[in-house]
Amino acid sequence: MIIDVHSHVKNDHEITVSLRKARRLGVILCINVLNSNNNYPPTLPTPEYVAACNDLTFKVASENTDCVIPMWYLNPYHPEAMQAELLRRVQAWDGHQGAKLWTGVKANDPRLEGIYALLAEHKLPVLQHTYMAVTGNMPGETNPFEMREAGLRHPDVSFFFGHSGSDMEYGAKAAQGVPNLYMDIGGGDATNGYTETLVEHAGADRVVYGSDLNAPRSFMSQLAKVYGAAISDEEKEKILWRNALGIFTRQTVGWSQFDRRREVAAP
Amino acid sequence: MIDANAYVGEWPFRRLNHATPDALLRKMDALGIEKAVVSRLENVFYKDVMVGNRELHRIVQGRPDRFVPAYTINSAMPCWEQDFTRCVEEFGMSNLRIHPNYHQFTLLEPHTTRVMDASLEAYAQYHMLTSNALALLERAKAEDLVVLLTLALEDSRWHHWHVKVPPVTTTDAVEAICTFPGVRFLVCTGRFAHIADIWRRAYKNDNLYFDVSRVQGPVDDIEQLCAQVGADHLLLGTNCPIFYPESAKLSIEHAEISDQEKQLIISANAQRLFAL
Repeated sequence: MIIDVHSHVKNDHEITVSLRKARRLGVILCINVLNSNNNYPPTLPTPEYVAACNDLTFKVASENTDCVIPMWYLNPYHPEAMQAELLRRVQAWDGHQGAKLWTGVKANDPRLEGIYALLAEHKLPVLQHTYMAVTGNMPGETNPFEMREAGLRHPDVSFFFGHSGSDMEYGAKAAQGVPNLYMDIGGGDATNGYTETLVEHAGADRVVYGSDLNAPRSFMSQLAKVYGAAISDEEKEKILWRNALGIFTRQTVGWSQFDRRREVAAP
Repeated sequence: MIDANAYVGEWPFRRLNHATPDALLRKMDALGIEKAVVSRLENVFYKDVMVGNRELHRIVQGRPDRFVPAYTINSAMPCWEQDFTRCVEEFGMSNLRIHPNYHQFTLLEPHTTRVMDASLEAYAQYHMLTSNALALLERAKAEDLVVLLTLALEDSRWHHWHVKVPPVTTTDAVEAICTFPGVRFLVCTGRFAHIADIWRRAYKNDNLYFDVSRVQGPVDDIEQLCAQVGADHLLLGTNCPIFYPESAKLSIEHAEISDQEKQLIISANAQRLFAL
């Protein structure tokens, strides 16, 4: 089994191909939708736009419960509306789930306090996009320094540190000593040494596999970061699924579907 | 299996796995790669590329059964023509590696943008290539070399604070390819979108090939490129040791294409292009 904590879809073709390949490879996709209209996603979407994205996430997850975990997209620029959106989705979904934050506001912004409280209450993970571009970040884009600050300020929230900051040396160092930051290897070129750097600084218990599928990455370019890394098989297994499963099974809502799956899987 | 785009050597900004010839050979053995077309990685930054070329020659002479050399020439340096001649006469150069972005010999004249905005007739009146680029590619044509045109080595957003190097643009590549239709170009490290763009715009493309080292998405990238460009114009390249070589290898192996197409990409095209 492989758990991909970071995957996107935005049209029927991507949904069909991604699910077909995921099943063939034994991958469970944690899907978030940032652009349901097959466009480039707006950086500050309205609550209605976010809801439409999550409707598509819900549809894909509902029709493919064997290999999809929904990650509800939120734009905390509208804090009250997004708290309501998250609560609505959590109450409606019976199974593993999490949240996704992109570039609405930075991870250490006070407008996220209410959302973080909900995530902590239900022990749900959040995938926070981060980046560290020497050419300059986008407005609202969280850098590794800000991710570290958010992680320290909210120790009761499990963060998937999206792209590990993209520049892995920044990300790996920023995560040191912050046990609730889990390094997502997804996105970016299959840079040699990427995963070894994360394991060295954060430890294999805090690295998780993500692909950034369709934005615009592929499965194999990102799996290569695990299969090609000079780390032990046990560490690879942790990164590919054990760590993520441990985080998702902490949640305090929507357990019945997981129980059903576990019963089916039992000999 | 043949890797059409690899390097031996160190990188100034971080320690690399598989940087030495022995380490690269061990990795090739583990992945079932019989031969690799290699350049000296230090030559990306050395002003005197002949230092790296001499080292490459020695490395390749040690394992001619495994390594195929692609020597680097920087046409922005004085007397580059002599470097070129020595590589041909002393090293038997058959493959030329160019890094126009790192070596600051942009392929196109500065007026390109203005001309590109003009009508097609106006566009056709200009020689877009710089004199240096023209001369270098003329020499490559005369010697019947394979030209490895590298667009980038890594994501420019992750570059060192003081060494920010934009990638070679697809317009540069298209202009060179269309001006020298008789030259066999292997465009290295193009992303999916770059390859699709170059292929669409390069109306003379019989001798145009791409490595897939940086084709790392979307989910059906190799399948789409086989449909658009054709498997006979795609080659396995790893950009090792900058990238994990498993990326390109696994992408091809797991692509939903025919076994015949896979065979073309992983070896047959390279055998034909490099006369192996």
